[in-house]
Amino acid sequence: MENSLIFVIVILPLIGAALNGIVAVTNGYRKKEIWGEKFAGMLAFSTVAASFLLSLYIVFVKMSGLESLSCTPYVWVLVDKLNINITFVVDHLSAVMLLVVTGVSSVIHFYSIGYIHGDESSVRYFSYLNLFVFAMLLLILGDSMPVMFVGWEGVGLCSYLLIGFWYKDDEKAAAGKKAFIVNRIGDFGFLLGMFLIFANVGSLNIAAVNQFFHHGNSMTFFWTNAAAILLFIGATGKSAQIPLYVWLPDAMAGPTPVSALIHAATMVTAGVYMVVRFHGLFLAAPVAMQVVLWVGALTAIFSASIAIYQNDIKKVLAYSTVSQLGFMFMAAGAGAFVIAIFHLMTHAFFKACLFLGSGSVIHAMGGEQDIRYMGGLKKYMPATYITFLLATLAIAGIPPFAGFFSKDEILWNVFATDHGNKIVWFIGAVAALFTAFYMFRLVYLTFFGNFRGSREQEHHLHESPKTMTVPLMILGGLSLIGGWIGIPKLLSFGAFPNFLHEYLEPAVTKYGEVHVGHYSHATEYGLMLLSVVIAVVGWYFAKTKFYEIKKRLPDPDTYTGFTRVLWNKYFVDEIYMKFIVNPLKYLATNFFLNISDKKIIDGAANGSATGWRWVSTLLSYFQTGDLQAYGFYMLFGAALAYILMMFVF
Amino acid sequence: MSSPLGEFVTGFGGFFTLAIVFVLFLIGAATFILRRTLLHMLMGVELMLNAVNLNLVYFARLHLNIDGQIMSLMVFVVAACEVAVGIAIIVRLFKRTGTIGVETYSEERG
Repeated sequence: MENSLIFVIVILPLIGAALNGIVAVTNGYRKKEIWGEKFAGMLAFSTVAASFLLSLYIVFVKMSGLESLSCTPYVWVLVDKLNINITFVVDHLSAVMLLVVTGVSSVIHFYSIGYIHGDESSVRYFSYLNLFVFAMLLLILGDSMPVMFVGWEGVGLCSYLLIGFWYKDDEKAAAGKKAFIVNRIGDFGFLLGMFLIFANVGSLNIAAVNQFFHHGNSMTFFWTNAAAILLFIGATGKSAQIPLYVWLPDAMAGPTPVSALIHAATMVTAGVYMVVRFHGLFLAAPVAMQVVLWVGALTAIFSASIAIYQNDIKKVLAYSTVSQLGFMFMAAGAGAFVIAIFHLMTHAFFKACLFLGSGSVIHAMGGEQDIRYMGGLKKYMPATYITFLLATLAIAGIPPFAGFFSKDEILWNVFATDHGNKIVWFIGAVAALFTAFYMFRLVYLTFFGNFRGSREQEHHLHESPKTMTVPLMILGGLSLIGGWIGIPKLLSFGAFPNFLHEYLEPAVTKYGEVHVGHYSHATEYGLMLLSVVIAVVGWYFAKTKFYEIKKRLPDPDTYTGFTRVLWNKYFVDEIYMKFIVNPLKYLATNFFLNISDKKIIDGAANGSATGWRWVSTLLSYFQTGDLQAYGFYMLFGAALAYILMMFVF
Repeated sequence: MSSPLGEFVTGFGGFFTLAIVFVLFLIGAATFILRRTLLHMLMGVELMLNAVNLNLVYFARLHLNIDGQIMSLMVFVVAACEVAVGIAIIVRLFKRTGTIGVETYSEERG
């Protein structure tokens, strides 16, 4: 079915971005501002909020009973076999993403109005933020790979622009650059996968690609898996998985709402969404599925263990995000696509809440991000504390908070489906234990005990303004109830339908589904209980170790042994620097710069310049300035032409 | 082709006319290239134009086609305009520098 309102949803944030962008540029040249941060913020917020309301209307009113709605505003490419339309499709899968993205975006835009208050380039900030929403909507709703790729690159660009938003700080600019370059490596994989698919399928339409792989096909086992793995490399870049996760912790240099929106709730989940979107292809590629499963599991435990020893409040949350994305990929790799999207959704709620909460804390601490100097904030900022605690309970997996349902189902599916296995389940369970531990450690260090910062900071402590606490409450509330749409039938004894499953199932099992092994209900209950026990044990450890902490935490420089390795994040950045970045730099300077660029390319350019200079010097002898000489040349030339025409040709 | 003029055109007159065209053109060209005053050079150009005109008229008559004669009328008009402009320029140049010798005007040397 056609519906042109979808186009309006997509284009609204772009209009906001364009208006704010133009004003941001002209404000720099004019003494008088066209409009300031307040109007810019309201404009940005209202475009996204309008998109959200329209999405609600489309999904719940227009789409009821339908499988999908689409809208084709423009034919992009029409060459021989290649036919690419700019088509936006809202099916049950993209509808969930659409609501999550526009919903969380509106909340965070609203929060930003309070957060960015007083910054000299706030108009530019809102322009970028709106542009990001536009690119994300392209990514979600595009029905062909190139449109998806434009969105994919667009969100990468906005991520880069926003991480390096305070570009005058070298460190922040470098973090933005790192994010962009690492993402480019992943994008290269995505592109190669796209080429491979086009060469074999002859179409770039996502539905056609899934259809092609669903119905047994001419592509060999090897190439099918290669295509899926190449796409997954793209996903590891965007969704910060091993080996390309290194950019995400550094990306915390950006403004905190950006960390919440882009680097927790929406952009980083694009990889998961992409894998689910191409489930027809991934189900036809069992090796690729195993790769997704194992990479997800390893990333989950790897980054969860790093998060345990981080002291920067945002770094802890960043590694936690990487870890949670690992969980989503575990679900996707086990073939439980519905659960991957479910966890994506609940994660968007509670992680956005955690980041916004951390932003509120940092705001109150006057820019301090080190949790060793916090403590006892509970009584100064109750709203932030309560919402932060709600989100922590959710991520740790304590029932009945949102994270419990999704995380428990991930572990259950990894345990039970044919693609999953017990070892991965065990890794996931340990990662869940770590998660509960580091999150409660964060809560205890930040909000409990005595304040450990300077006297000045203590004097300055205050609750954040309403524009910041209201979004926190919304997201905190969603962290509590967001999981209830996906309560397993087993838990409600069949009393409630599992809304999310029923809604998503048709969209993600269209191209085959993964068989779930037979286990007794007792097993399922047992595992569920185990998840809760794991969460509570993590909580207990954190409580006994960090509750009522009196003196300062040990200096990280005194760490020894494995603690030191964890504190230094397994030295991954150093290893990459030594074995990848530096050799590339060496090659770049010594070959590409000094030989290829300076000798060959510059040589050719300068050589041709010298050559033509010589020729023109020679020719200038004929330019005597004497009119009669020119007359003679003409006559001579005409005579020559005559002779040539008569006697030669 | 029984008229006397027709016989003349197709016969000896052809050689005669073309010879005049050739000589006129050469004289014009030589004037343009060799005389060192702008006024003479302009005259040379006119002479060349008229040599070409004569050529056009002759071949128009030979092929009994009026187009060539019309063309020559056009050339007259253009030549008249060109003379008017050319002489005006020469007069202005003379007033500025006091000479119309062509060697004065060679600033555009490469």
